[in-house]
Amino acid sequence: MANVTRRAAWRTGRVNGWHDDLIWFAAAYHRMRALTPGLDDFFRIFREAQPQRFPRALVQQLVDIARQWGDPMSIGYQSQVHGTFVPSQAWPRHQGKKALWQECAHNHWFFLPWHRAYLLEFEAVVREHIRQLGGPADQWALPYWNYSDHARDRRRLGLPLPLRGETLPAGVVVPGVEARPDGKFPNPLFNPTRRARAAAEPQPGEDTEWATAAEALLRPHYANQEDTGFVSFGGGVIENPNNAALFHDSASELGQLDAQPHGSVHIRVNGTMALFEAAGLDPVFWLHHSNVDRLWETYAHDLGHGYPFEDGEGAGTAARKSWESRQFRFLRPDATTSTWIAPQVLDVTSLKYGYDTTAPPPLPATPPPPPRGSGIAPFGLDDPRPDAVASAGPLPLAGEQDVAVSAGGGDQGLGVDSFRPGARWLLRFDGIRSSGPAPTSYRVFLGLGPDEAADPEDAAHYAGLLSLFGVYEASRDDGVGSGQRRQLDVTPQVEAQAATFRPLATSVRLTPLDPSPDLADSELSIERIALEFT
Amino acid sequence: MTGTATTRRWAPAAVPRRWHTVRIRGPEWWLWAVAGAGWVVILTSAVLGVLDAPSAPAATSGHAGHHHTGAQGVGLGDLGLHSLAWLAMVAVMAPLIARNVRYVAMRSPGRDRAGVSVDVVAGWALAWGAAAIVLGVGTWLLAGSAGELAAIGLLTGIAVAWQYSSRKRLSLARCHRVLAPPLDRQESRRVSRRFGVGLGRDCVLSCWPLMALMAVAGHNPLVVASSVGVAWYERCRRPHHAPGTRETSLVIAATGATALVAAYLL
Repeated sequence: MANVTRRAAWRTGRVNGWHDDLIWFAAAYHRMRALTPGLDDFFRIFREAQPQRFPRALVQQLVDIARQWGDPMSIGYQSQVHGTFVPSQAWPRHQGKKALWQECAHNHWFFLPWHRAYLLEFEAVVREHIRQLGGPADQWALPYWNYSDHARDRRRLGLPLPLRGETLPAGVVVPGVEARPDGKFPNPLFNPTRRARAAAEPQPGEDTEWATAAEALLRPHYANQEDTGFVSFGGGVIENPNNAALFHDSASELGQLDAQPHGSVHIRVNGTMALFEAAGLDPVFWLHHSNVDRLWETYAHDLGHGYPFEDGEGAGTAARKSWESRQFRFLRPDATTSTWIAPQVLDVTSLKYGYDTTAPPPLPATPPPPPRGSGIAPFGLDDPRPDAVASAGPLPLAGEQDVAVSAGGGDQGLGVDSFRPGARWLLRFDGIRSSGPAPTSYRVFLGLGPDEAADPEDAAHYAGLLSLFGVYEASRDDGVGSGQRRQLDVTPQVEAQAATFRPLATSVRLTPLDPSPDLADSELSIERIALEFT
Repeated sequence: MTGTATTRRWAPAAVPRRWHTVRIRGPEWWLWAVAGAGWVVILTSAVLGVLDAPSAPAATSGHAGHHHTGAQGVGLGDLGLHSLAWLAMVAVMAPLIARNVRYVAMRSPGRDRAGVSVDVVAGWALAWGAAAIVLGVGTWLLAGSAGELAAIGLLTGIAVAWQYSSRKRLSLARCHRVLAPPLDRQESRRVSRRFGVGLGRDCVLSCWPLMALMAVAGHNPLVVASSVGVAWYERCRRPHHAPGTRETSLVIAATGATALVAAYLL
């Protein structure tokens, strides 16, 4: 296969956005849908189940449909590789081989390499469909949704145009798609479960944080050792690669890119995108992850952070052994199993693909990455453990609210100068739970007075976005039930408020990014918010 | 307040410089020492032959060749040995909650980490202590009334069947639970103990047939090792709420068979 270039879905050219790569993606998707029995019923039941917070009877109906999706050439199979409602003993077989489902990696440093391998496997399946249609399979590459470049063009905050309509616009021909009885041609890239707002044109003044990658791209490290006070780009280190429970469920640090924009885009689009078990059914999932993958290239190359261990650092450490030995396995249409490890997916040139651009979005001036060989790049390894000084909770989360975060004792008048100079500050959220998929992300402000307005442009108080993708899955009865956790680096906010900030008696304001959904429905709650320092 | 004074008060806990050694010295490290002590007890008692299957006073041993008859009854010495054996069995399981303990400790102020670690483990051990009494008496009565071989067979069957139950799935998933305790020291320790009790309850509900099987098999090291292996496998596999019924039930059946052979021969 020749080198291929993944290109932005929002780009100049066709006014209606139906560029050739999207037309062939739609053609392949149409075939993949046809190989997925009961998909329309799945979407119908899903729409019914979501407002009811997925009652057991409806989930069982989803299971009964999904357990038929045993063909790796189908979108049903490919979506379940990410996550599934189907219990493992009921996973289907393909040519005698049991499906390899529910493999997705989140909340740790394998998030990016695993999803890169997943995209490569998916791309190969799409190419095979294009080949069978007589299309330009060897030149085709997955497009990406360039929402994170919204500063250059706000329209990019909206779903790419080819994903929006239920039917194809006039003049657009997708190979293999036949007319319905009403004479219109169905759009294979349309998903009926998405929230309407996600598909609408962005309005002036509309929120943009959910699509912003700047916070992630500014992180100094790719990954951090467990329980350090850093927030990393890619997620916490897993030192034991054979502990599958850590890989899939309960690692300790969510990387900033994983949280935002990755998680916040999932929540923004909503519908099947809001759940691990169904996200891959929406074509936008693949365009979204293509962009997440591109942002990794931006971080590694354009911003100079490189890839983990590429300069030979970390020799002999448990982390490096883990990085080099954790296997990602995929069942292919020919019933063979492909196996990847993280170091195999780092060099995109050898993987024969690239991006039309990996230029970063506009970023504030930042210091360069820590020098190689300094003992810390690309990891935050030798850091002291953070110490909690003030906390709040448990608390419900059903709309905007101010939360007093205090030590509950001691001298609450202590200022920042009473702490170690140069301390780093962290706002940690533990035990975030919900009884349904989160309807929106929340803005987090630190140290706002009760009469002060919350403004995301106010860098002295705006601490970041609390993205809630995955919270429901971690809260269910058949899950661990401890919910999820998040952390925000609030050092800049504490330093900006240094003259007035009182670490032992401060406040956190949480404001929903999208106040329109019924926020009480999902019964969000947080066990504890803590202010920590190192 | 001066900067010097408060820096001392709020200084983060010092940690070793070499990052890959930190795990070893984390707040949960001593659970591995506890498990080591448990193994010493189990292996020593096996080598010395001081432990045997529990049997009630009015019972026979279940097979002709067995030297431990009901007529001997259970003296204080026996009771002490069996209590020690139960303690050892719980101890070898302790590292299974190392991650839970670590999480609670790391979410606590540095000065409280050791204390909350002990509190979580104390709560967990309390739940296991209560379970040990019930299971100890239960297995003693069962072995006494049905005989050792029948008791091993029955408990193997129960342990295999338990792997397929929804209660097992739910309890196993909950074994992964974590807690971020309040910062107030007294409240934190109270909540941590309560969390430990809940964790212990879920561990008991997940693993009680295995523990009963170990007890009725006379704390045979092979049976203990196999049961601990099953528990670790379940703990580290995914999805976390699926106990891997086929694999684990096969191992449990093999373990039961081993216990039967050992009980018959010894």
